[in-house]
Amino acid sequence: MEQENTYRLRIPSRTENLEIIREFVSKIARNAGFSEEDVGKIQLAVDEACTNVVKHAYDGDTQKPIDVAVRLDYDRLTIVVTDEGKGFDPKAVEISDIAEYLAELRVGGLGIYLIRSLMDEVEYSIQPGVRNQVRMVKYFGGSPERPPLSPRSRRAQK
Amino acid sequence: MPGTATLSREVMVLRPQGELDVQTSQPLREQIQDSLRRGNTRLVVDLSEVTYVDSSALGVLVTGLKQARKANGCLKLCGLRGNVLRVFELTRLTKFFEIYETAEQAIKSF
Repeated sequence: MEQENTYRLRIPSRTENLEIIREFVSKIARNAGFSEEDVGKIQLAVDEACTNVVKHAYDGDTQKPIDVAVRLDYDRLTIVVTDEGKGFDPKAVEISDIAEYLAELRVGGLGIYLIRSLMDEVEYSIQPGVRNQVRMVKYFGGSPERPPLSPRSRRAQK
Repeated sequence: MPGTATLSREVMVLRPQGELDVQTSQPLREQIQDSLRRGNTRLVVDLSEVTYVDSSALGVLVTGLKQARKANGCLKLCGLRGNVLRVFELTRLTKFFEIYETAEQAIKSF
């Protein structure tokens, strides 16, 4: 990520810090012009990614860091959550059929499902003990299929 | 999560407030467990003053529903709005919970 459009937060991996992370991300998203509905989606997706780090990455070590980087581009907001913990296999916790899953009233893995449902693009890069990242993208205007607007035309639309 | 718990016509109504995440949903989990232990198995969770829920909070409610059913009771919801309602719709939990507009309607449904 380049510096000039990027906001960074490094914070200890603790549950009480989740609120600070939500505030950080939602303020940037709101200032960037996302609707309140999209701001809600973005903050929940980031919260879920960071909750996974707090609960699973460091075996409860609250001194270890979570890095949150938010980059603003003309057509999208990209958030990268990074930890140096033990990592996980996102495919192993993927929910293929939410109706079937909930029929059994299970709950684990719901966070990963939510992240996928809330954001336009989600990618995991897992290197256990070195660097685990989840990269999440939300496009302005809602649809990733939509051709991106040039910076000039986006300004003109405002 | 400051909130209240009121017993009304043999229905325990829990009213959490503010944001419910992995940490702040724990008092609600305890209130639900405590109610069930005391034999109050008819529960209503009024979410009208809750502004945010994550998957941990959903887990607390789903677990509560499961346990209440096991004890021949039920856990019903009311007052969902805005982002909170959207999360329930997104996860299709609207199909698994009985959801009412107001606590009064939820209480009457038992």
